[in-house]
Amino acid sequence: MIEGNNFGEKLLGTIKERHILPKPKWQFLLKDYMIWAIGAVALLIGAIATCLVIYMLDADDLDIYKKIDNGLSEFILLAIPFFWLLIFAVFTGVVYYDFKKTKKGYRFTAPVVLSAVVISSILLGGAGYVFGMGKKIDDILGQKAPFYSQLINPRLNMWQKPEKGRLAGLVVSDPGIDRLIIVDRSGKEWILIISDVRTIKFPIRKGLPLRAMGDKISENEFRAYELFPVGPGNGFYQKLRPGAHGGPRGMMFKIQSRMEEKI
Amino acid sequence: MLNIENTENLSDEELAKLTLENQDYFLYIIERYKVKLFNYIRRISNLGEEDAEDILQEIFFKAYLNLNDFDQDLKFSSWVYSIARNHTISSHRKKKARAEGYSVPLDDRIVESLAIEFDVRNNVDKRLLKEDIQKVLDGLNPKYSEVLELKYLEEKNYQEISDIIKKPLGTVASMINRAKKEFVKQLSSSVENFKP
Repeated sequence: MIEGNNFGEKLLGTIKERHILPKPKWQFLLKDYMIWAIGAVALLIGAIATCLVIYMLDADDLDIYKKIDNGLSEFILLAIPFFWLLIFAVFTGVVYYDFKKTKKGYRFTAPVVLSAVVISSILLGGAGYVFGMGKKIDDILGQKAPFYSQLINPRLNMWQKPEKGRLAGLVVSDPGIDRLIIVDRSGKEWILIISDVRTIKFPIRKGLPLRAMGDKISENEFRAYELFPVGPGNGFYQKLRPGAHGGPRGMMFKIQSRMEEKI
Repeated sequence: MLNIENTENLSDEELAKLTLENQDYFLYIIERYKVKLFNYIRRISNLGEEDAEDILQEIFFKAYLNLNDFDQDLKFSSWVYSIARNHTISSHRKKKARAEGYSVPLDDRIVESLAIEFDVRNNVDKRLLKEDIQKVLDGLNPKYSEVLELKYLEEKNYQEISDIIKKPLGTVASMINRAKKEFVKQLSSSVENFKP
């Protein structure tokens, strides 16, 4: 029986014989710090995702999307930033799991922990949005991230449909009285006729991305009835250059010359 | 060797701290916990005495190695029970029905307190009651038997149970509640003159 034998003495003897020592405190402290650091990084990523969700939802032009053919279902698919919501969900899970690994994390129930994580992400993400972090991050990703238009901001694809009356691109000429030149995402140059646009609510200048709704007149002419600035995706369009994706080069020079002659 | 009289008045937490300076103090921690943990290991697993003793040895090694990880905000007892629980579970998976003869006999004192807790009438044969209680505990869902054993057999309070099984306090309270209901339900079908 365990009471009668010299269990304790034998055990201590083995410890001394093998020179076993307790693990040093720094190992445990390091582990604790790593857990907290991972949690902090995951929370930060979740907050960034929240910031981008707010940015993309806030930039939604409800009026524009109402005019698009397929109604509510297409609107929802385009308007909701699924990519950032997924990132938010994944990293919320990471923070929760990580928190439960802390020394006293087990004392809190799942609803309490998850609520705290979500609220913290919203507060941090909201603060980031207020300070313009949403636009900055989206611009950088637009310029540098591969698959930006496929994954992060697929709504850009609906603005590459000139035959359906929607076109977006970068203004590459000084705007004339009734027309200007834009380069679309495939690198193709377009003459954008703007004489029929009733109100232009933002200043148009060379180097500005914009979106147009109207009619395609010919292979490289588009008559716009409405113009909008580009919100999310601004950085994506900023990197466009004429002919970059095999579009016709040199049109800009010819058209600009014609415009100067008219003047 | 250390003077045993000096150590009797020391708390577990103080002994743990002293062990880090002089490993001889660890012997007194072993002596305080070896029987309790041995019985606990046997209750939550289906192990015989020899296997349980091996597990117990590994548990004390683990506790010694991780002594610098002991959080002084916790009770030492909860910490070492937590190590015992986790190590026993990972070494040998618990079975729903324990093998015959491997159960740790219930103390009369514990049977008495259970009888009072569950309002079992005084004219019930205590010997039979002991057997019935053991049978019911053995047959319960492990998550229920675990919390009942910690509460009534190991006499841990809710906070200690929370620290041992690493679940929130509220969760522990509802688990014990459900466990008691299940225990009463099963006991009432085994014991004559027991009406919940």
